Amino acid sequence: MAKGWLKIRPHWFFLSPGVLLISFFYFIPVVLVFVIAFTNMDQAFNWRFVGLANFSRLFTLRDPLIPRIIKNTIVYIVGALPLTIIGALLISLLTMRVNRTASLFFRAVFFLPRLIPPVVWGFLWMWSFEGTRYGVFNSILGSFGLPIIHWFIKFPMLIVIFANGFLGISLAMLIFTSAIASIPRDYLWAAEIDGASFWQTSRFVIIPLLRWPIMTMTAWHLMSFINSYVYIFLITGGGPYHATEVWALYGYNTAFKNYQYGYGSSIMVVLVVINVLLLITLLRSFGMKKMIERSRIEA
Amino acid sequence: MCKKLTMIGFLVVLISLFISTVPVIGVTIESEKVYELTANIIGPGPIGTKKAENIESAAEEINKMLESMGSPVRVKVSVKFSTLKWGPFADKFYMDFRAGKAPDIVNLRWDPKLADGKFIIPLDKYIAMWWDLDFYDFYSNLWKGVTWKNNIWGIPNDICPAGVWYRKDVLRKLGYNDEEILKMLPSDGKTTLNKLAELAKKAVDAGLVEYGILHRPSKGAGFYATLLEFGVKCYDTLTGNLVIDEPALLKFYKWHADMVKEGVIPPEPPSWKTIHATFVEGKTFCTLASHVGTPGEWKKKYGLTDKALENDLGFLPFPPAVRGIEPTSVHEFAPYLITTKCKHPDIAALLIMFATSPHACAIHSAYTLRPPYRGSALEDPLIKDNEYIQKTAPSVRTVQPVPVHPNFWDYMTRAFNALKGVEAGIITPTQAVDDLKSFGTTIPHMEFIKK
Repeated sequence: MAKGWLKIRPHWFFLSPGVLLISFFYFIPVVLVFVIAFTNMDQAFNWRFVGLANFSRLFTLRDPLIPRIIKNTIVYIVGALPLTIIGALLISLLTMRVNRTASLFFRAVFFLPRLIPPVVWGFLWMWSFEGTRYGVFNSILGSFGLPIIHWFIKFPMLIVIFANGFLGISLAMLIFTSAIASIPRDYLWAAEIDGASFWQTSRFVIIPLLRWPIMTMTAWHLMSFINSYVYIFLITGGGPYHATEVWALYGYNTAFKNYQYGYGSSIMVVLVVINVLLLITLLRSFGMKKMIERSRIEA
Repeated sequence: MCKKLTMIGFLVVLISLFISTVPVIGVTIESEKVYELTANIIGPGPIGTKKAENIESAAEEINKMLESMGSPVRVKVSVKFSTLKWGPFADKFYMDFRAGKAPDIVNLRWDPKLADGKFIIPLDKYIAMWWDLDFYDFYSNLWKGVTWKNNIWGIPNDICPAGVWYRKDVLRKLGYNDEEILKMLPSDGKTTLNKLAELAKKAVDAGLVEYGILHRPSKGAGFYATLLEFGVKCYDTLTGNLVIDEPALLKFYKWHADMVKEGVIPPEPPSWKTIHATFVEGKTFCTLASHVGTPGEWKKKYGLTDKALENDLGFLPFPPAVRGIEPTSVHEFAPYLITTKCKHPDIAALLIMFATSPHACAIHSAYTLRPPYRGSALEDPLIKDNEYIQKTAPSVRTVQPVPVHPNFWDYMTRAFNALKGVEAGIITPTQAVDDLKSFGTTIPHMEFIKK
């Protein structure tokens, strides 16, 4: 019987483990978050339905922190996304120019953040910028007789942008480097014979050929930064005084630090909706459909 | 001696009475019966471990008594000690409870939501029943901290009056002698916060210390105490409502902003480790982040010597920052609670009674250097000759409990975050008060004292 069913519907058979896993760990939690968003669930899991009260608090700005959180989220994305894409592109282009050993070395160095566990990465940044003489940078300043700097007060957003940006660079760099390596050498030789400089080759030959990887990485990291909170949570916790609290982290802190699970869920529901809308927009504007179509020889 | 014998006799009678009730709770006296209970106890951190061990010892004591009486009944308790922080430990309790895995006894930061949500049972019955036998000498102010809606919900097992620690050796280097120091900063706290700040500023300016004054890096009883220093009324005892006291809060935030400008308080509070380490090393003049028992931790983890504790450190209750306020000390603790899932609450209560006996209290006190929570423990040989504990024990009598209100800690979280914003220069004191005002509108029955 099973053999017969397998013969008729083999794709369902092979897809079912994945479908089940995604249902349990992605679909059901999202549904639960939607349900909880309409309740006033607290730390003790006491709850009652409150209708749209949580959303009304969000959208009527009865929560005075909302404008600040939106501003932080925009600043964070506007800072981290170009840093990731442009930084990764530059590193990829430069490391392709040096000899193989040096290229491998630099790529390995920039890939290191991916290999470090998130907690260690977070604490490294936290410790490096600690505002006491025990912090790495302050101890260096101290050794030159300079006064300590309260880094997290002066540059909190810059620190989280760089901490997340370097992580983003590591992945994007890997993709861009592979894409550059797969460019037919003839194109580069032709440019060289025409007398193109390194920057001209990059600008007019390599970067146009990297259109798809750049779009993919931009879409990927845009979604990633909108949803990211782990490293910010580890490094600043969203502080000082909400200076680095982005939307996803605000949802987390509201639910798990202030124990307003209901309100926290409503913040997350908004995030889910933004994600879906953004994904559709990106798929359309980047022509993703065309990209995933069967390959064909272009005229 | 005679009193002790009477107590033992009384306890034997008590255990016998319990055995006689055994059939009522479903056990046949002839067959051996083991009552299994579970207890989840929080440190937080490793320092509170005796609170867990005392529960285990209580079961052993009860079993010895039952055995000596020839009773086939035994009590077996499985104790889990956690070094988690308050929040995650409470999360775990609530999840365990909802999953039907709640322990019989739990030790949580007291929160009236536990009572309102029917997570725990009231203990008035046991306290009344065993008052003369055991609970008679618990400091009366401690009961206030676990009373909610006219019921007592927990048994105190720890006390740490929060206050101000300062370095006398730094003041000596500034040229003051011991007599002058005691006059400026008397141990009863009858001085002012500004005096403390003035001395801290002198120490910083003279390059004797790195930090003048350090406060907690998070909310807690000590933070609430600093609000009280400024006369901030956070809670109305008559109505039972929380209060946003705008003028007093503004003074509180302004003072902190000024202290940051003066270099007395750093613009971002350092971590607990830095606070403790720099204070013990003599690089911080004064800490508002500690309590009477903190030297126990300093000795175990930061190398504080008895000599330094005796000669170089001074302690006082939080001194007032404004006129008309008395020196104050505040405490909060995690009482032993019995959950509504407990199948044998009588036995759980008996265990708690033994686990808070004068000797058990002395064990906890000797280990933590915190004052005992009951008077008679001071006579226990374990701490009778401990000068530090004997000297600091009276501080317990005057401490105030933190207000018992379901939203009190939400309020403190918001007020503390605002303080961090003010100190970091991200918001002004006025904006901090405005932030609290907007928070106040989300809390039912919040009272506002306007400018």
